[in-house]
Amino acid sequence: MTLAPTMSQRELLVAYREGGEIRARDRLVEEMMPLVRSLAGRYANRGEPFEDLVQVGAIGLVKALDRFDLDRGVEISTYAVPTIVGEIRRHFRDRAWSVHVPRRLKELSLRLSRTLDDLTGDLGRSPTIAELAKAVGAEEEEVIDALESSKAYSARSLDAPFDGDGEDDLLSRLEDREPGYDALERGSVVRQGLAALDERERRIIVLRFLKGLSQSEIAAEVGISQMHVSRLLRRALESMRGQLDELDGLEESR
Amino acid sequence: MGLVLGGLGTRLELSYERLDELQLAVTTVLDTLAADGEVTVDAAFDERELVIRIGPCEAPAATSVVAGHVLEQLADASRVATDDDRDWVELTFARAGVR
Repeated sequence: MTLAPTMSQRELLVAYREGGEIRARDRLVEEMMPLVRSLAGRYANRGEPFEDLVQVGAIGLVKALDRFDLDRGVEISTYAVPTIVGEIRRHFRDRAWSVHVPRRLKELSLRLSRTLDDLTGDLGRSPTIAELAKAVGAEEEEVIDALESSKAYSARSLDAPFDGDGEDDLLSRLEDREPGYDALERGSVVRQGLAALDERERRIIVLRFLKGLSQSEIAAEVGISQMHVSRLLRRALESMRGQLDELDGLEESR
Repeated sequence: MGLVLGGLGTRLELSYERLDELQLAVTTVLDTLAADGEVTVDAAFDERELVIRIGPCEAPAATSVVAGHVLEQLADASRVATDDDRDWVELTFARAGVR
């Protein structure tokens, strides 16, 4: 099917929804990205990178395109706005500080997150605490305090795309490396633990513990900050542990 | 514990990444092992490495499988050492520039 350049948004949506034309959806997304950027702009300067908010808003836009009732007599944009805003708000809610952290530590933590990524790039290695402290103009003790506080920041996954390193792939890697009973036992346990994780957490675990990538390498590959990788690793391991503890408890009660 | 290890890592001039993994490894051991009463975390270092001993403890089966694999990746060496018939987890981290 040819998509005429003059097609209206409604016609494009009909082509996508009723004709399965992904190109029509892509063009709609492209046309409506200025709206997404405008809405994301309302939430800028609240501690989240603008481009992250745009990406989250784009997810909301795609959901709106999938859910919009073609029989409704309203503009697509009218329906999409609350869905996009809802997605951005959910992003903030999911990334809230889980315990009370003084404002100065929150601000220092955010500065450190950016500085850490910049310094890692400049130095070609992970910086020391002293180097971080010098770069942000703070005492080493304050930096340690802020880094520790940042672990109280909840970083819930945004259902990021998962490009193939799935659970089955992880298990096959374990089995390749360790044939025999040990692999079977590990594979079974790891499978049970991984069941508690979402896709992004599973991907981070695979990259760190099976591919052996460093946190900075994972950050570059996934497109998030090193401190975010650190938080996701902690949360993923905690979730796996919780899942396995539960299973241990069930085994013991039998 | 995070602040204590942070101070230690700073004194040893560990990189941010190394320090973060040291903290994650110790947390993994503390959270995973079924402690029998009081747990002691002991740190010793020289110009080449930092050795952390945690225990005494008993390890539940399933969780320790995952923890063992995790520790293999985070620490330069990890082992269970027996002392007075009690198990201790021993983690070794090379210092900056040595690894």
